[in-house]
Amino acid sequence: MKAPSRLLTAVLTVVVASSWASSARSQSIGTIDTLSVDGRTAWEDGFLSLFNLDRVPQGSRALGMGGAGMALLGGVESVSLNPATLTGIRRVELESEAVYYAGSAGVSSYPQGRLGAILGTSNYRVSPSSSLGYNNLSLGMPLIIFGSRGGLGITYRRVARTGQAEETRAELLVLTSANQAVTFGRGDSPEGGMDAVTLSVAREMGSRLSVGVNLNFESGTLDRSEDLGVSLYGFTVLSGGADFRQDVSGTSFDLGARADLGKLKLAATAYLGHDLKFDRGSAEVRPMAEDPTAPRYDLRSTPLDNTLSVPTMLGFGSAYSLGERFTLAADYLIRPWSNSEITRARIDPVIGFANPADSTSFFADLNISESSEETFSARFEDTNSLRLGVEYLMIRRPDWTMPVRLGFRKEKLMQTNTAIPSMYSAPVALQLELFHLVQIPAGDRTEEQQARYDELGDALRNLWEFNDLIFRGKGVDATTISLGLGYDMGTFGAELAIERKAYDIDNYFLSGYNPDPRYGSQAPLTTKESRSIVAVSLSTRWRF
Amino acid sequence: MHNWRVAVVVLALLLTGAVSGCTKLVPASVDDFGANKTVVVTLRDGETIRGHIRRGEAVTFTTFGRVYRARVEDMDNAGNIVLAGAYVQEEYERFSLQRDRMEGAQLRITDGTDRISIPAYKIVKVEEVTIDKMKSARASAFWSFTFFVATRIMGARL
Repeated sequence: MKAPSRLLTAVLTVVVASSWASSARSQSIGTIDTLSVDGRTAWEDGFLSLFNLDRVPQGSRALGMGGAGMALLGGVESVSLNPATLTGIRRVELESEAVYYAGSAGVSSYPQGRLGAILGTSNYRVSPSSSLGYNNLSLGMPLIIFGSRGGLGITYRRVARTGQAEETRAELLVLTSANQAVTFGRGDSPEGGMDAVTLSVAREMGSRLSVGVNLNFESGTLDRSEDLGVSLYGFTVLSGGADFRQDVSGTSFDLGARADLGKLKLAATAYLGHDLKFDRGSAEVRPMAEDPTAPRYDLRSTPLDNTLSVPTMLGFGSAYSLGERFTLAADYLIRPWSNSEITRARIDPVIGFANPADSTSFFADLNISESSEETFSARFEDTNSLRLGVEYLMIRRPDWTMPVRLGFRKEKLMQTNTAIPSMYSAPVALQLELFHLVQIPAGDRTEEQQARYDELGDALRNLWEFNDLIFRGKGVDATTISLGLGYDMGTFGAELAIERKAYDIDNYFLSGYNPDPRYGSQAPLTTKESRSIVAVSLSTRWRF
Repeated sequence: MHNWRVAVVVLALLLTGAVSGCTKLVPASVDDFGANKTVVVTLRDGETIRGHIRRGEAVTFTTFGRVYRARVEDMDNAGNIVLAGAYVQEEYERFSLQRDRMEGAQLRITDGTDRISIPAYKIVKVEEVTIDKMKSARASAFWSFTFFVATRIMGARL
């Protein structure tokens, strides 16, 4: 093998396909490092590892107050937080909102020592990308419902984004006669998301209580593409990537109530549990070749359709008026994502050793049933959100007001990064241990050996069937600070808000970890990174 | 796609500026009906005449419960106005009682005649209708932004 090929091959043993990119059956012809499972769901493949299903705040007012405002009467867009607040509108109003996302990232630690042919790594950096998009378009009107004040609203809103785009770069010094430096690059571009058309109705129940309900028709297309590359002297010598697309749809109800106790307002909401259907998926993986002269592969698959159960989210809110200018708001929301389950066609993994005397002859296959389904835990973690907000009417005149807002939010995000349970960090070790137990005839094994044999078999089957599922997005704690400014002239209103969300994650070094035990992969190396995502929201309102 | 969105936003700006109808009333002289001005003449009982107060021009006369469209037949230097060819453009049912009383009063507007005489002493104030630039600007900004959001939604869904 020529020196350059050896160099690049050495690089490629570490630079593997992304842990969330998988599509096709692995091939024994070489080092195509794909997580080789046919017909897996997108969740198992990790394509949706950034898809955070806890709804984004709607309206610049709520954003500026840390997402709080469940107990505040607001504009029509506040129905996404609490449909009961719709009784606060007095005129027909049309509201629209756009959000600009940007961000920054820091890397506090990454492997810098020698890794095989990589002598050292430097300048490892991550850069979130910016994007501009809509957040909601809402129309509301006041109504008299059975003799009491009420409201009707229709909203088109963004519920959840597929993810935040970002780029990763690193300089790798590789072992060659010239100790050449190559540049590794990865671009991760999630696009689209899940939107909802929401029909809302609310009604006052007496002088102090109002109730409301939302009917949400949710749908969207989730896109994610990744590009990998290694460049030498400015020329791209290796490239690869993956593309994914899948549709999502569902219907849900929200219930809300609000009590006006004078200066104190209380509220409660329930975003009722429902199922989301993921279908019409397609995936394509283009593994990075072993060297520039090696064949290129384009592996295509159809992720299995699946259903994800979304648990009910409960919320409690309060607001207190201090005088005529100050308003304090506090909300708490919780969703037991640990109860979420995935249902899809049944998959039965088969593992074993083709040659009982050869530990490298491990094989694995998946049998996909066309007639039966299975349901298993989605393995998410519970999420919760504490939101505090303050609004001060800096200018309060009969014909116009100018509020300023400040907000704080502490929350557990549903998904932000992948994580490997420690048991599966060294699949080769599991495989070798199983191989040694296979050498012992079943009748000669001790009880402990048989128990360990069964445990390892289950672990490897589980690993094989869910090897991406278990590495899929894991939630982290995030802290958000926000500011807001408003201008309301009765007929016309405009609001601006900016929030900064910060959290820390562990990420895979050079985007790669291959849990397939046949490839002798090393224990995964991780980086410690931080993210700071800024959202700038602008909304306008006209009251007719 | 990007150019398409920009074009829609620009069109929205132009349309908004042209048709937003954001106007305001500014005081004008009681006897200054300036032919080129759109004025609102307020009468003692709250009735109003709106339009170009000039011979032959069509104006809107609003009284209790009814809105008339009529033609200015005559007007003199003293401020007396005579309207002819009046027909009912709009009617408000909740003013039916007031209208019934008015029909029995001096100002008979439902006796079949289509002439309305308005003596000058009944005129309380005259205001000129002008373009409210600030309101027009706010309306333009609102509709442009709303169109922008709508096009982004359509771009994502279509």
